[in-house]
Amino acid sequence: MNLKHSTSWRTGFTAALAVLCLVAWLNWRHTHRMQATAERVAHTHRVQAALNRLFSLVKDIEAGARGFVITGDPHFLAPHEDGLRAVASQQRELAAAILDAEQKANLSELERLMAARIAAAQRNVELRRSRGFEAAREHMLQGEGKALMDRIRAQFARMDVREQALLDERSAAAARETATVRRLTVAGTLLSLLLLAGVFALLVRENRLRARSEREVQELNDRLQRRATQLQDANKELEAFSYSVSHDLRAPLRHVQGYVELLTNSLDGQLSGKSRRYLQTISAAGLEMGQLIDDLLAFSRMGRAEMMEMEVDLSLLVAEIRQDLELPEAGRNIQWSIAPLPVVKGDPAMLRQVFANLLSNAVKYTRRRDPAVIRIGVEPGVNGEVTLSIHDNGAGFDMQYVHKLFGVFQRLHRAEEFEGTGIGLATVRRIISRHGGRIWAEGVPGRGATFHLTLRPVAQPEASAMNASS
Amino acid sequence: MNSLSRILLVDDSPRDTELALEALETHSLANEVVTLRDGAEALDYLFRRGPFADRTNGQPAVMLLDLKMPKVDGLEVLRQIKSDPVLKTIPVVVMTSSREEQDLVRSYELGVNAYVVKPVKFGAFVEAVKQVGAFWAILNEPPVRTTPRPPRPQS
Repeated sequence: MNLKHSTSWRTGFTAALAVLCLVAWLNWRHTHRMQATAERVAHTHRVQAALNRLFSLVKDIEAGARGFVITGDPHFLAPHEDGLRAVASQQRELAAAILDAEQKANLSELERLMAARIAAAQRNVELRRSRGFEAAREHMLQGEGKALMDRIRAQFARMDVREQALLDERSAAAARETATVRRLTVAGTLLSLLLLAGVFALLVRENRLRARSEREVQELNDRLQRRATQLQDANKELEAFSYSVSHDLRAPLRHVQGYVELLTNSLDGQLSGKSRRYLQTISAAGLEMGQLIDDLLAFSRMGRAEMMEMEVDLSLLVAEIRQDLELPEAGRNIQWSIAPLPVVKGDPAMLRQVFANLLSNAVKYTRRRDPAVIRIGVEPGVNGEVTLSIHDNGAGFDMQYVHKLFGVFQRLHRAEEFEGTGIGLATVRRIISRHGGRIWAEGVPGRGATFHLTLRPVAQPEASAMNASS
Repeated sequence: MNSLSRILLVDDSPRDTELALEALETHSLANEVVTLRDGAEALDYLFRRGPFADRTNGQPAVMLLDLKMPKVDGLEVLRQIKSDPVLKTIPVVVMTSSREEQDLVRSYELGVNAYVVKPVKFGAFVEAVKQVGAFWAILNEPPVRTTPRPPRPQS
């Protein structure tokens, strides 16, 4: 939703910008065109002026010739001769100024007429000089001078009209373009104003939405904070609870144990076999409960305790645990086969608990085997993990119940077969999962069990070399 | 039999006290055991206050101290003893039901001399008391005392 809004205001803004650019470009181009139009108007005026000048020259040439014919006074020839000198350059100037095709045609017709008229005027002047007034008059009367002059005048008028028409046409085109540009400018400006107003509305709305979601996030944060505080309090209570259990539950148990023992001692000799067995049972039950409390506390501690992340040498750890385990099992034939184990990342105390549990299980459940075989192997796992497996040839278990194996208080053997509280493997799984690993097991009743678990090894050159060669 | 020094037993549980005394007796270590029922009493005894204002004998050879007690708990007793220039030389052995790491860490921070978790099994408890008593009350050579010692009983 937010994304959609943010793209639409961006699109709107871009469109407004594009329209404004287009309007600016149109206006800029129009300014240039107007300048060109102004130049053309000036040009038309220049052409008209040049036409007028040329027409004056023709009239001067004709009038000068006429004055000389009538009077015979060569003074009258001055405008005639001046006109003859200037007419060629004036014609060139006009020819250069004219661009329109029709005007060019008009100009060549004019030049032709002018050449004929000028030739006639020169002929008159010549006749007046060589043969006198009468011959010249004769030539003027029968000549076509007047008719030519009329056509020249008409031609000049035509050209002037044509030039004026061209100017009008161009002015009209310019005026039309001005109107168009003005309309486009108004429309474009209005459009971009509309777009900007839309963008503004969108931004206002988005701002409101953002403010609202910020408020929501803040509320969620506050709720989370409160929840965290509650959890912290609950954890503290749990801590106090477990402390109290640790201390207060153990004390009466110890007392039961102690007094049973004292009673047994003080009745020494007077006790029947039956009474002695009763007392032993009380004592054994108390011990079991003590173990249960210890295991439960360990289980709960493993869930709550802060985890350290250190390098733990599993070879050393396993060797130490094996030593502790073998002491009370002296006399048993246990064959250990332990592969070189990696150094892993984890909490040393917790990992000790894991291997102590798994190995003491292996020792416990192979109690009736001779020899007992306990194997620890390592395989590279996926995602840079290692998979460790602990195999024994002990009592094993039925895969049908494998889902119960890691549950709290779940036991797959009766207490009279193998003692235990059913918490050890639950603790193991809790620790492994806190280390980001997995644990699973396989078993065959009467044949043995294998536990697999994954841990993250510390990157070691030897370890990778070993992996590469295997 | 060697001469015995005085043992101070501080525990709010009369049963625990009785069991400890039994254990000390079993090993003939109970010649002179002063039992105190909470931390306040222990401090009164050591600082010769209140009911113990007239006490003239010297300081005990060792103090066996429970942690969880009403009024003044074991950690507070430990703190006060270890911050007193005279009393700090008394060896203090914490004997508690608590296996909690926080208690252990805190005790050692305060300068405890030994930390023993009372085992549930009575046999093990007797053994622990015996070892603690024998080590601190017989084997350990205490620093020179600033107050007079009672004459050693002859066996």
